Amino acid sequence: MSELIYKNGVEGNPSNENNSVDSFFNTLQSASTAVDKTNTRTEWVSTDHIKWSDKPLTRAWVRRENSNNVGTTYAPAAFTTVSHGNNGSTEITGLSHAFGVGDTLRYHFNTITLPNAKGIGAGAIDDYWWLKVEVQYDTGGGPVWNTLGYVTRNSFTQLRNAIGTPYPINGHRRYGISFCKVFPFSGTWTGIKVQTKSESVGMDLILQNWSQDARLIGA
Amino acid sequence: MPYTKQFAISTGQPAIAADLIENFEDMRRYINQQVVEADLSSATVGAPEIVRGELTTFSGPEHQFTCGNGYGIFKNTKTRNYSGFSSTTKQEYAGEYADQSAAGLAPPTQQITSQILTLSNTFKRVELEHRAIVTYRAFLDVLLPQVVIPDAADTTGATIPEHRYTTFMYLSLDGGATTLANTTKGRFFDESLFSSPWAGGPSSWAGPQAQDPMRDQSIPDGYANNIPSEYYRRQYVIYKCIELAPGSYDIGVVADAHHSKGYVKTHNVTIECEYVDDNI
Repeated sequence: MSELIYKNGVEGNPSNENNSVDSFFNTLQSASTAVDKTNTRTEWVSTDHIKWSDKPLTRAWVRRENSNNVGTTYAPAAFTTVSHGNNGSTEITGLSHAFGVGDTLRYHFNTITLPNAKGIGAGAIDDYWWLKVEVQYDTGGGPVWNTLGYVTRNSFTQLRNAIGTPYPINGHRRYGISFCKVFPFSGTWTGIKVQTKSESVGMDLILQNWSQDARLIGA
Repeated sequence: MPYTKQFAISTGQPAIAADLIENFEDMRRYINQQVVEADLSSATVGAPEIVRGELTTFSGPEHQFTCGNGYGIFKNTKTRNYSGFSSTTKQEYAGEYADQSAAGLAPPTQQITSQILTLSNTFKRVELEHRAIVTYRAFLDVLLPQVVIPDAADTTGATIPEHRYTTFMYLSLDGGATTLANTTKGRFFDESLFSSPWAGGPSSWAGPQAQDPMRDQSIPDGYANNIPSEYYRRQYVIYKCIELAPGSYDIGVVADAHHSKGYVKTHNVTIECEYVDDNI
């Protein structure tokens, strides 16, 4: 909303210098004729009166989940997209949701790991697996994938040396991770995906059902 | 019709206080009563704008936001906060399974093998007045202590732990009548320090092979020697975000117990409802 500003506000000068006071009321008049239908939080008037900061609201919601109860093995040494299941891959592209400075992308991924101690007796120090979330957005130069938050490193067992009996600890555990990204710039959110890899090709990571949920929330 | 100023103030001239006040009063009147339907574009005002916020202290401080409801349940690890559950409500006797690896088949009797029990301190009745996105989060610290029982399957006659089956947990939206089994399943095992009677065997796990939390997926399965009991411990860490139609829902965690003693120690549950309009 316009603000009433007295320019040249010094003693002896007119209080409506440069017509600032009258312009203020004229702005109110024109604003009240232009109720903005794109702003669902409008209480009565103009485009600028109510901002997203007044009442945060989800502007876009993207989700997908796999519920086929079938475990799939991921054993790549390089990051591979989690793509198994009955509803498609975690990679969802082709989105077109504009965001501005301060808008927030809120993301959650969860899955369940099945037990697999393959090879830990011989390669106890090679039992790490990694997981990361990638978000794709366009700030003017075309869509680019960026890692959301940080990359996580997890292990199958509790033993960190090659002597003794390593115990698998990952079987049937639920794994979940959430990230919020506050955009410091404007752009268009275009995609999302989850990737995983093992440190050693001798290790298998078996993931079963998963779900992901991403929301763009106004700043 | 729009707001109209009553007095114009000429540029370069002093603004008269009475004129300014009256112009502002015109605005107040416009906001208060003079906004007419024609001033608002169609679809400008939706359900989220109409629903009023409301504070209630009926069952602990809660606030119903204008955009939806928010709830929280937290119980710490003090013993009085433990929530118990048990498989004995269904008179399940694990020894009836002649072959645990084929437990998916019907047991030789008509005993109930699956029974859904609601877990206390996890449920909340949610009334949705409009279509909403509902997010349920929970962290439950589940403890299945070692229970030493005479076991019919133990032909040696020795008393061995119950270490043979899996307790499941799911989310439910209707008080347990149905479950979200395929997307919210959690598995829990009794914490048995088990070793010597079956040392050298394939595994200390006596339940269905596919449910062995120590499974190797190759030969041999599991590790029989002195697996620390805490390695069988699991937490129920769940997040479910779902779109729901207007109505009444009982949202919470249910258990299909297969252990005679089970506890949930820490409860940390949040439910978040956000009414959405055509924009979602």
